[in-house]
Amino acid sequence: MAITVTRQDPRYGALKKGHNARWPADDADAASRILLCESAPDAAETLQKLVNAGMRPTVRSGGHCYEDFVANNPGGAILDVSLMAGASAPGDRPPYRIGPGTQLWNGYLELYKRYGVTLPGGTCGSVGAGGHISGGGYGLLSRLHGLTCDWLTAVEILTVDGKGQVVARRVDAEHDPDLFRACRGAGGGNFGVITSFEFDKLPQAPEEVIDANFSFAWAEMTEERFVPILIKFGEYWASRGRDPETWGMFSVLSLAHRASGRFGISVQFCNPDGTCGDLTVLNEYLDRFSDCGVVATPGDGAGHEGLAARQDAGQLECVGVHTVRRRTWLDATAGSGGGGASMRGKYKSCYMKQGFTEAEARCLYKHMTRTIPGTDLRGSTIGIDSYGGAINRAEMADKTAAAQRASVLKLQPMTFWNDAKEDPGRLQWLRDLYTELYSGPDADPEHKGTPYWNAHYEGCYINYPDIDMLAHDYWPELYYGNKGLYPFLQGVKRKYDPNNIFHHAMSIRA
Amino acid sequence: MSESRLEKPVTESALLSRRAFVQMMGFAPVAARAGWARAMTCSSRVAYVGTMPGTRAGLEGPHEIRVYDVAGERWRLKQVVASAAPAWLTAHFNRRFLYVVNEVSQHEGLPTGTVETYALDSDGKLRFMHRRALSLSATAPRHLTLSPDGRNAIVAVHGGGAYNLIPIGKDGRLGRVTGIVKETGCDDCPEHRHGAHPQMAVFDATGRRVLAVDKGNDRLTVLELEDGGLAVRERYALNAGSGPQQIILHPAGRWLYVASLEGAVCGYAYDPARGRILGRVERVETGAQVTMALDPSGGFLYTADDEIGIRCWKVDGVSGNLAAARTRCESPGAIRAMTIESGGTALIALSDAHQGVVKAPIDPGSGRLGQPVLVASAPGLRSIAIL
Ligand SMILES: Cc1cc2nc3c(=O)[nH]c(=O)nc-3n(C[C@H](O)[C@H](O)[C@H](O)COP(=O)(O)OP(=O)(O)OC[C@H]3O[C@@H](n4cnc5c(N)ncnc54)[C@H](O)[C@@H]3O)c2cc1C
Repeated sequence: MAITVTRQDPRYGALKKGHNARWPADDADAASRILLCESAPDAAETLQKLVNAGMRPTVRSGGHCYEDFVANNPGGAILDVSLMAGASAPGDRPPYRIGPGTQLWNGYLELYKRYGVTLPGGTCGSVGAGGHISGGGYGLLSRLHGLTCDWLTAVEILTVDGKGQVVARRVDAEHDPDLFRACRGAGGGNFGVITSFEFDKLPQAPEEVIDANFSFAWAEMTEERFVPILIKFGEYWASRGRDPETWGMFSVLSLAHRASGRFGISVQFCNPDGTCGDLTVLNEYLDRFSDCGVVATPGDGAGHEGLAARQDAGQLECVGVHTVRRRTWLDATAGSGGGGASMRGKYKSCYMKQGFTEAEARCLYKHMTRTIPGTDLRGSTIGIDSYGGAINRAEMADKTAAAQRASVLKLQPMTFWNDAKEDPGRLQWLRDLYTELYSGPDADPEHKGTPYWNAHYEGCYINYPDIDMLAHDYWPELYYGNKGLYPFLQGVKRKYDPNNIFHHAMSIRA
Repeated sequence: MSESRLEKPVTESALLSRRAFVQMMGFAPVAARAGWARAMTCSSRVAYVGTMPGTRAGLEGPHEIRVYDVAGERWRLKQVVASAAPAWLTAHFNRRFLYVVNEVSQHEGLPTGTVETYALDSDGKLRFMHRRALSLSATAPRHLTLSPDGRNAIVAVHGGGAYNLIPIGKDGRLGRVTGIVKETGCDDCPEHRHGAHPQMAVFDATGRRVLAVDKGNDRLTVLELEDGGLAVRERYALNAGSGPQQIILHPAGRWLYVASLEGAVCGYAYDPARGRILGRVERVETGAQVTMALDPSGGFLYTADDEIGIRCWKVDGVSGNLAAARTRCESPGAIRAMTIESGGTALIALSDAHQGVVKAPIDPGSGRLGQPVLVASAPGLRSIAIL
């Protein structure tokens, strides 16, 4: 039987919310209870009771949802599967099984220690497998190994049939293959409660990696210096970065707002075989930035949080003019062990098929140096991730529900703050930036204000959901493309959740 | 709106074809339940008619609420207000507010229906107050009923398969949804019918319990207000495939009548003390797509259907049984919905065939209907409330 936490319970205040402190927006939105399930049968029984009572379940694993899809559930219940955690193989050999509540770092650790393998998943250690994998899931090893959902071979999921009966299914390429495909990237909270992820194979974890960082001081930055940095960064991933010998390298340009003082570029490198013997590819990449007046240094916190977290670890090493850090992969990955403090946050996203144009770079400069009276824009960043490589195996678009398979960069504009009074200024800043950035000459003329699919953009990432996109009636195409994936998902929705038990603001609308 | 736009009243001879009357109906609401009608005091009489042309083939035009002065055999149009799919209209007992159920599936980008609130001026004209979103996924709502104390509303959500409880402030404004019951399909539901489709709900006399019909899962459901929320008390399965779509609670509070798509009106005994449905006490066959109206005294039930036309049934005050009274009324064409004017003096029907509102006087002793006349014309009539 599930552990029930109602409003009277001292745990309620902590458990009614997830990682984003904005949700629930007020008490009236909050779920009436949280039901913590410890096994699949437990979850099935709990779900059946909720359906019988006419209560809405929202499903939670790691609680890192950006929007209010889980926490906004007035009168309903959060069905929490965070205790269904752990990575284990049923026996000594694959398939590997991951509980939906497994926090990524714990999953990495267990898989590594037990089997020497890993998931090519995200960099935030406390993100849950439940939302992460069902929404795609990518990270530092994705250029080398693809998305996490690409490796998925089966899913155990509880659905609710037309009569309101809970059905436990194990779906794979042969059994309910349509639902299986939908669980590979369409996003959580749509079709049922995932109770287990299975993988027949997983990639070997790299032995060691090299970390490197560039850092730029805003005080010394001009628009004329800024624009080439962005163009140079993007150009690499749109050209040389397509070469398989570079796929072991992941780099992120953490473009912090001027108010933060600095912004940076972080790199994690290994060769495709998971070793760091030959550093030619890395060196070549680092050298590209030399004429921007910087050399790589061992991280000063201006780069990616996960990559820069353990500044004292590993061995310093010189690569040409650059100083980098050599570490075991496990040690480097431990940098993502935490999840950051729970703050208020707003996020957006964009996939880019090309590097930055000058117009985009100038627009970014404008907004990253903009000031809004009364609004502190520290904590406002655009995470610009290298992308592509193994992710862009075109055939995976049809096997999974992750449609974006031609991008070389993935952007995440975001802002974090603590005081609710800052909400309007923060949100406005982010919206203004996004709207202008995607209204420029590279945007699709009929879908201005969004990175609608065209020669330059490939829409948005459903694991970075943004309800502002609901203002556009074509919002599903932003996330799922315009090639028939969304109608397919609508069919899956009608078939496996005909009562629309699982719904949120951006769930699949049948 | 000028008088000239109004059509001349049409008398029985001009429009009555029983065949025509009978084609009608079905999904459409009937405006006022008996308790509501009784609560009205009649000074100036005003009718509100919701139109949704475009939802039916061959009809085009804006969705609007038309406000009429109700006088004699011709109603005078005095205001037209644009509205979004006004599928159901409910006037507050205090005659100060009108609630309009918008049968929409999306609002401000979110998958939800809405309810509009209008203030009623002293002459009955509408003043828009606000539009309240229903709960997430409460798409295409169909009906709204008020608790006897006027402090709560229940919305039956056809598309989203749910019920919403909404508190009403002293100023008539609808608060946020505080109670949600999400329904599912049923064991014997025909394959082609997906999920639940609540159609209508009525409060019992306690004001705490709600009786509701769902034509998706063929169920009668008893809901109860509980800690500001809504809980399911009983689910009562009706004949599989019957498609119940309208419910009326008899003023005595002990019987409820359910009209079903299959072509039947069934009476059920109800225990108001325990809030339980005791069983079926009556079933009368009608044509398919039947709709009904009960006179405020509870003495006569009127049914209209596609095949037989309008009939009058005498309600047995002891058993709740229905006996066919002198029934036949020549039909003014297919009917969408029926209601009874306060005081029980006339039956008002929304006629699809004549694209208008038809009024037939009621003989208070026998329940017999007099000659219908067309009192107002508009395309795509869908809902009506009369004050
Ligand atoms: C700090 C931070 C860093 C991040 N970094 C990355 C990154 O590097 N790469 C990346 O790809 N993403 C990243 N993300 C995004 C992350 O992948 C998504 O937020 C993800 O959906 C979170 O999953 P969760 O289980 O923790 O969240 P939850 O809030 O529990 O769930 C998110 C959604 O999935 C649904 N869901 C959860 N569990 C289940 C289940 N068992 N069955 C069905 N539906 C379920 C929920 O209902 C909800 O709609 C990051 C997020 C944060 C907050």
